[in-house]
Amino acid sequence: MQLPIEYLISATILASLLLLSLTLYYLYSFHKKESELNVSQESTDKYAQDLLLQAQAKAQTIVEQATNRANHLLLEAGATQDQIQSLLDKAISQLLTQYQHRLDATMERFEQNQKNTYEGVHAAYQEQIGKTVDEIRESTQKELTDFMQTLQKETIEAQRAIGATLNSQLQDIQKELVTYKRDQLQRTNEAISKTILEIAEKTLGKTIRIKDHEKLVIEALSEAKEKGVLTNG
Amino acid sequence: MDKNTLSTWDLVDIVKTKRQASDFTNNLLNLKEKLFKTSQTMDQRLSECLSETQKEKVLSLSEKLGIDINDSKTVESLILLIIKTIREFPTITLCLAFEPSNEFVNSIGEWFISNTNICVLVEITVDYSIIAGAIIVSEGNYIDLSIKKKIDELLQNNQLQIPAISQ
Repeated sequence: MQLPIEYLISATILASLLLLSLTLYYLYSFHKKESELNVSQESTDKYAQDLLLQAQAKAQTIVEQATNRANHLLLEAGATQDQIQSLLDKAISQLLTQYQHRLDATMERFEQNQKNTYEGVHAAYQEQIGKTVDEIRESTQKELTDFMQTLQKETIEAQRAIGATLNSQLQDIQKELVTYKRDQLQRTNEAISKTILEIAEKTLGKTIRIKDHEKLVIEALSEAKEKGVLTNG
Repeated sequence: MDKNTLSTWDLVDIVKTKRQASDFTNNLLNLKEKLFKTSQTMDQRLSECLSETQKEKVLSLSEKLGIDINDSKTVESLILLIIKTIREFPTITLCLAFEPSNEFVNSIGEWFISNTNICVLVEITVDYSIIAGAIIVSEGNYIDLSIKKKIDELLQNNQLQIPAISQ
């Protein structure tokens, strides 16, 4: 009956370790004895030497036996390296899978923590930003309101000043216009008068008879007398 | 009237215009120059220097004043008196729009005598631009009674007025 491979490997290893332990124990005992037998050095040395040699031989034999036994066990087990490798691979794969799962879980937890942390920080920043934005909005709104009021006030003042200036200029222009009209009308009237007089001079003077001229002169003299212009006696 | 003086009334019939007065004055001065320089008779001098009417006037005034017409000295005094009297005439300057006849100029002098009891010398200037009527200058007083002035006044009175600017 073939034993399970794992058992065989474990047994082999255990056996080797056991043998090794025994060997080491034996060597320790020997050394201890050697030290206890240090009084009679020569004999003891020799005896020790002999013992040592015997021990060594025996140890050698034990190790060889153990090794042979292990090899034999290995050969008997018929465990091929492929199978072992396969087992190792499987074990490693399982181990890796387990580690992967653990790693995934850890990563997942880490990510979740990060996410939670991020969301918390994000929420905190959002809140802070919201507060800051509100403060900025209020401040800006207030400044804007003040600015608009000041601007409106100054605009009204400027409009008043402009209105007053325009009004004054309008009055000046109106006066100038009236003066211009008056001057133009005066000039027109003078031109008309001049034209009429020229026409009268050219036509009436020639059409009036001498008798009429003389009569008008006498009338002028009479008028001058009435006005006290003439020399009175 | 003083017998030994003259007035404008004594000369009004012969001196009606300034031109006539100037002419008469110049002739009298010319006569005065010849009184002591030529050997002519007084009548010759009078005829040579004065017009017929002027000569007659001088003779009548010398008779009026009892002056010996052949006495050069007295004649000289008479000449100076006449010239002085001529200068007493007030001058009336009329600017007319036509060339008046001598008759009309005389009638102006007569009008002054009739209406102001003053003998005047009439000086006539002609300016056709006044159209009709007269511009009268009398003893420094000036008045424009021409038709041109009247037309001008009518035109000015009929001009449009600009209303005042409302505040």
